[in-house]
Amino acid sequence: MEIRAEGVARRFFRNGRNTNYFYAVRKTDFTLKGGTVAAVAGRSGSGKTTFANLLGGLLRPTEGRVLYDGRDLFEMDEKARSRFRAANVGFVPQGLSALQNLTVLENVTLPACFGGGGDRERAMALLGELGIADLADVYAGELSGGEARRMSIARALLPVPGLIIADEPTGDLDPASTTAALGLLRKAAENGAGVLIVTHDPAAVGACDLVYAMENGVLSRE
Amino acid sequence: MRISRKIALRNVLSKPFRSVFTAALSALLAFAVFAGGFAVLSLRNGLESYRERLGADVAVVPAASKGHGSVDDVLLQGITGNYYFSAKDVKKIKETAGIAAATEQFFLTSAKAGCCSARVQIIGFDPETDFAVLPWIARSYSGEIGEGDVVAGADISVPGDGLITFYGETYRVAAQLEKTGTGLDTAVYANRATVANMAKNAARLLETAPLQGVDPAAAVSAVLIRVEEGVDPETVADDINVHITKAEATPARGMISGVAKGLSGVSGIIGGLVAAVWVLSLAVLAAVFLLLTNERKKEFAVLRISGASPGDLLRVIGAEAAAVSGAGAAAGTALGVFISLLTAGDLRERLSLPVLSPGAGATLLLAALAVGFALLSGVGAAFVAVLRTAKRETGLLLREDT
Repeated sequence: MEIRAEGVARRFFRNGRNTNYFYAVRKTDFTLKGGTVAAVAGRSGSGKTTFANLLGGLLRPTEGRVLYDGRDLFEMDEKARSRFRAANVGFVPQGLSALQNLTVLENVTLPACFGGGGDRERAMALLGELGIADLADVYAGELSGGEARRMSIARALLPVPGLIIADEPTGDLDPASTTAALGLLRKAAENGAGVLIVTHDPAAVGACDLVYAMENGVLSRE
Repeated sequence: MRISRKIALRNVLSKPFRSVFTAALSALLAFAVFAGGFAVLSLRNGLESYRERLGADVAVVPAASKGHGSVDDVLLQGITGNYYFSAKDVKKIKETAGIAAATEQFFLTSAKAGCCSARVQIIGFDPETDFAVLPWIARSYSGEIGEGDVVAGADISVPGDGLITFYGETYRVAAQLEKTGTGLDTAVYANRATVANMAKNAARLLETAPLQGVDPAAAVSAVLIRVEEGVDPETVADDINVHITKAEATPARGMISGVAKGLSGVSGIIGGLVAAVWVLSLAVLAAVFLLLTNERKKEFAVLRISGASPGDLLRVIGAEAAAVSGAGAAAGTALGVFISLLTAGDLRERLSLPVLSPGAGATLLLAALAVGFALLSGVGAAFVAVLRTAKRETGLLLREDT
C-alpha cells in the first residue's frame, strides 16, 4: 500500500464569503508506505486534522490530488469512494464517534455493512485486545470516553484496511489502554498497513517510525 | 435486518416522544386526506344518485309549500308539507304545452310507526302514469306493487316478518330500495290507493288529521313532468309559474345545478382544508427532520467514516421516516375510516346535500391513497431536510461537530 499526496491543499471560506478564505493545509507533498507508522504533530488549529481528512478521502482537496496505490481518490464518484474507504481506509476520528443506539459490537461491525471486510469474530478479537470485549452488547451511549475511543479504534481496524488514519487515538486513554491501542496500530503496520497518527501525545509520537510537524498548514519532516 | 432499517428502528424507539409527534403529523395528514376524500366522494355519489333518482324534467308543488315541503325538500330530505293541489290546478298543469308525460304524487307523513324510531315519509305514486318511482323500484324489485304493498327505503328497519304497521294497519314490504344517500332512504313508497287508505286510517286515529279535510283519494302533493323532446324544461316551468299562481314549478336541471353548486362549494372547502393541512404538515415535518439532521451530524459522520455513501444515509433517514410516517398514516387512515363511516348520516343532515358513501372497493382504494400520500409526504419531507447534509463532505461534518 502507498498513499501519496501530490501538491495537496485545502482552503476554507470564512462566513461563506468568496474573498475571505484561509488555507488549513498549504500545498503539500507526502507519501506513506505500508508497514510504516507516521505521526503528525502540531498545535491545535495547525491543519493536522484537515490533512488527515484529505488523506482519508473525507475532504476534497481544493488543489492537488490524493493517490491510493496510484488511484486518485477524488476521481471516483461519491458512492465508489465510500465503498473504497469502507474496504481500504480505517479512520479514527477526533472526539467521540459512535452510533448511540447501536451496541459496541454493532458499531464495530459497521464497515462490514457498507462493503468493508471483517466479521463478528474479528470484531470480538479486536475488542478483546483493547480490553472491552465484555462491553460488546452494551449500547455505545453508555460507554466512557476511553471505552468509546477504543471502540472506534476497533471499528477502524475491522476491515484490515491498507491505510489507517487515527486522529488523537490516545487522547482519552489511560497508559495501559494507550499501550494496547498503539500496539494494535503497530501490529496493523507489521501486517502491511500504512498508519498515520495525528497526535499531541508524546507516547504516541515516540511509538512512530516517522514524525512530521504541521504548522500553519505547512507539513515538515522532523 | 439491513443496517439502515436496524438503525432507523433503534432511532425511532429511542426517542418515543419525537417519534409519536412525527407520527401524529402523518396521522393528521392521512386523516384529512381520507376524511376529505370520503366526504367529496360521498357528495359526488349522492349527486349522481340524486340525478338518477329525480327522473323528471320539471317538478311542481303547491306554491304555499315553497320553502317548506317543496319538491327538492322531499327529494333531498324527505321533508313533506301539508299542502295539496286542487283537482282544477292539476288539470291546468297537465294542459301546459310541451308536456310529454305527467304523474301525480301524494305525500303523507306517518306518526311514529312500529317500524321506525322517527317519523317516516310516505310517498304515494300512480302506477298507471308513473315514470319517476317505478324505474327506480325496478332496480331492486321486479314484481308488482299492489294495494297493501309498500316499498321501503334503504334505511327503513324492516321487521323479520316483512310486515310494517302504519296507523293501526299492517302492510307487506314488497321490496327494499338501494341506498340513495338522500332523505328518501327513510321514505316508504306505495301506490296511491294504499296511501289513501293510510290517510283515512290516520284521520280516524288522530285528533289532528294530516289532510285537514282534503279527500285522500284525490289529494295531490306534487306533479312530476317529463317534457316533449326538444322542449326546454325551463320554458315549461316558466309557463306554469306564470299561468298557475298556486303552483311552483322548478326545472330538475335547476335543482340539480343548485345541488351541484352546493356540492362544488363544499368540495372546494374540503379540498382547501386538505391542502392547508398538507402544506402545514409538510412544513412541520420538514422542520422536525431538519432539526433532527442538525442534531445528528455526528451520527452521519460516523456512518460516512464507516463507508456509508450519501445514498446510504438517505436510506437510513428514509427508513426512519417511513416507519414513523407509515405508522401514523395507518392510524390516521383507520381513524378516518371509523369517523367517516360513523358520521356519514350526520353529514347529509348538516350539509342538506345528498350523501352516498362510496362502496368498499372505493373506500379501500381511498384508504390506500391516504396512507400512500401521508407516507410519501413524510419520507419526502425527510429527504428534502437531510439531502444537503447527506451530500456534505464527511470532513466538513466532522469539523461542524467538533
